[in-house]
Amino acid sequence: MDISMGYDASLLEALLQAMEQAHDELSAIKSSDPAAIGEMIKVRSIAKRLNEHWLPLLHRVLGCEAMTLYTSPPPDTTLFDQFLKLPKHSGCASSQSNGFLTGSGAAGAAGSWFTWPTSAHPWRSTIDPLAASDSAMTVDAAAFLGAWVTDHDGQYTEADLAFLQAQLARVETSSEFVTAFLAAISSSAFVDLVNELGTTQAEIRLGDLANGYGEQHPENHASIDHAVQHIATIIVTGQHEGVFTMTTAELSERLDPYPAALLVQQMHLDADELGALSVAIIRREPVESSYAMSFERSVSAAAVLMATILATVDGPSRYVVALVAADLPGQLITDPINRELSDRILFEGTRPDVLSAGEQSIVIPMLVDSMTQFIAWNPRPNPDPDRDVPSLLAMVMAPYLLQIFGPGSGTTRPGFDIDVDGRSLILNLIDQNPAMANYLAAERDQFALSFDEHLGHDFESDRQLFGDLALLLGILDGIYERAELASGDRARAQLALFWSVAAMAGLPLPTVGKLGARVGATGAQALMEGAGVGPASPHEARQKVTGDTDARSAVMASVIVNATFDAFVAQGRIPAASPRPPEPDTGADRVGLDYVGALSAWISEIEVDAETAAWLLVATTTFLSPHEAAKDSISSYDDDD
Amino acid sequence: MPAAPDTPDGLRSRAAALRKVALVLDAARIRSLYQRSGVDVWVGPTPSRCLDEMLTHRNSVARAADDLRRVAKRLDEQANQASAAIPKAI
Repeated sequence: MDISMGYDASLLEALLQAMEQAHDELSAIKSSDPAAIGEMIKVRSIAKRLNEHWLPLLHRVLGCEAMTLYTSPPPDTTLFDQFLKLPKHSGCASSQSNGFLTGSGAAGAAGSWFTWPTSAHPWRSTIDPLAASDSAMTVDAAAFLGAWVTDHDGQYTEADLAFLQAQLARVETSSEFVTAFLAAISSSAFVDLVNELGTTQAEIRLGDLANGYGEQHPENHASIDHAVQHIATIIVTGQHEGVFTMTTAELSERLDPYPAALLVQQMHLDADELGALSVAIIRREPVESSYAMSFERSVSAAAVLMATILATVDGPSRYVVALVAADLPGQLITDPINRELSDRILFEGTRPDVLSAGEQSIVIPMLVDSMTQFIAWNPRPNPDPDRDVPSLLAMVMAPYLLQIFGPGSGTTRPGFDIDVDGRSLILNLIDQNPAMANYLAAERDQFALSFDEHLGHDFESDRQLFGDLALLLGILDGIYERAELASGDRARAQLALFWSVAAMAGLPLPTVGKLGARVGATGAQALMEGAGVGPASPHEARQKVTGDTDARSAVMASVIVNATFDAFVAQGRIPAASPRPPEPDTGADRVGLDYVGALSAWISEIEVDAETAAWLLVATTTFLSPHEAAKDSISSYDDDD
Repeated sequence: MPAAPDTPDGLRSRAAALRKVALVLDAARIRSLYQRSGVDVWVGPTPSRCLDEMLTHRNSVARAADDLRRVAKRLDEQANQASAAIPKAI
């Protein structure tokens, strides 16, 4: 099929004038005779067709220099001869199409083959308005499109965009078309095309926003989105066929940030490439693009790419890793173009289940350092009062408290490379920002995330897990204490965390639900509340807090023991007639020690094998001891102590 | 004062008016536009469609002119019949 149209401008101008006169004549014909109604309708219909279709079309063709390709006389006489052989006034589109735009393919498209016969006036060629709607693609047509884009100058009109979208959609359907199109378009024209599309789309969207349409009129920029989508497919096909030699990174570097973002969005890249490209594009934006500085933050490369990152599997984590690799950990924090998207990427991209242990040890300390520095240098109200960086810091830290504040060794989570000063700085921030402690108290599920191993594998791994859980509870309690969280809130937060982690760790407890209801909601709750009397003085407060912690630890240990007891009875490892385990006496001076003693006595009473007995005792003692150790480690950073 | 349209004079007047319109249509430029729309002026899918359409318009206008003349002839015949019937009635 042909997508091109050739014409003699002067003769077409004459046709236009004749058509205008014909229209005026037909419009002037009147008859009120009822017997002529049918004929008058016919006449008016023809006049209407001229006025509404053909006259505007002729005006458009004659007035649109931007769509005109070649105006030089034809050097190719072969084509001229072929043209002369075309049937005159055949009225048949297909017969005229034969020989039209004949040529030797893509190489000729941008060269001399596309030329027209001439006598007094040179012929011009342009894109045929009909071609966008009802034709199939050919290699020659694809080449012509490439040549047309190369020669295009200035803004694309609405009609141009609709045409481009339709034609690019046809080009992408075949590697032959893609090859012909790419061979006929210069790389700079390709870059200009994408830049032009992106700039036009930005203007349309900004106009929409300025007029209050928001995203309510997506059709305004749908043509561009589709055109960019087809271009992305053409690039991928061209790269595969070896006819598009620029890498996506090289191409995006030559593009303005916003158009580059639109293109990358449509490339369906894997998370690693998307992350690396996004870093490179977004870092250029504040300098090179005015869109990022406009009030509509959604019209920015960052907004486009961040939304794409969030929609891509592993996108957030790969982007965060790429940011850190580029030594730009603060890009999501210090000057985010889109806070909501940045926060979501931070949250989803720093979870333990999306970062390897090695990545965690590099990414998290750098992010934490970046955020602590930001908070230190921008005391609230900071330049962006809505930006609650302390809570963000708490969010990022939450699954990694063991690595940040833990002993560094002896747990399943090796410590991060954060020195004493760094940890002190974080704790001081917690002291000064109640929001951080509140987050750490409320978002208990984030801590449970750090426990990706389950109980029940073997004795040693279960002991390690209990040990880690106890450490974590101790760290949190130390943080709660520093933040002067109300004792009742602390107790509730710890118990809630305990149950979350127990569920996450998959305690091998068939009666865990029942036990949870009995001990968690009644027994343990009562024990907690009994231990949570408000302090009268700082000294009493410290004593009370210590007592509270001891009592809560003992209660939690008893929950483990009770649950395990039920599981072992069900498995036949403990006789069903055995007495139930003891419960801690929270009124005692040394709740934990007394509980361990009572538990030892109970174990010696029941008939269990040595391994079961050891499991019960070790689970309890490992739970109680590291808790205190971890809490002490937090206190050691306290300058006041 | 114009004759009533269904009187013999009125019918003849209508027929004459319709013939005038038909003549105007015969001479209308729309009938020759196809000659300016051929491949010596422009080529391509749109020009091809334009040429087809101009040929169709030419034929439509020609038929419309012929139809108007046929109607005019019928009106003349009705007028003659009406004129012939008037003396008998007297």
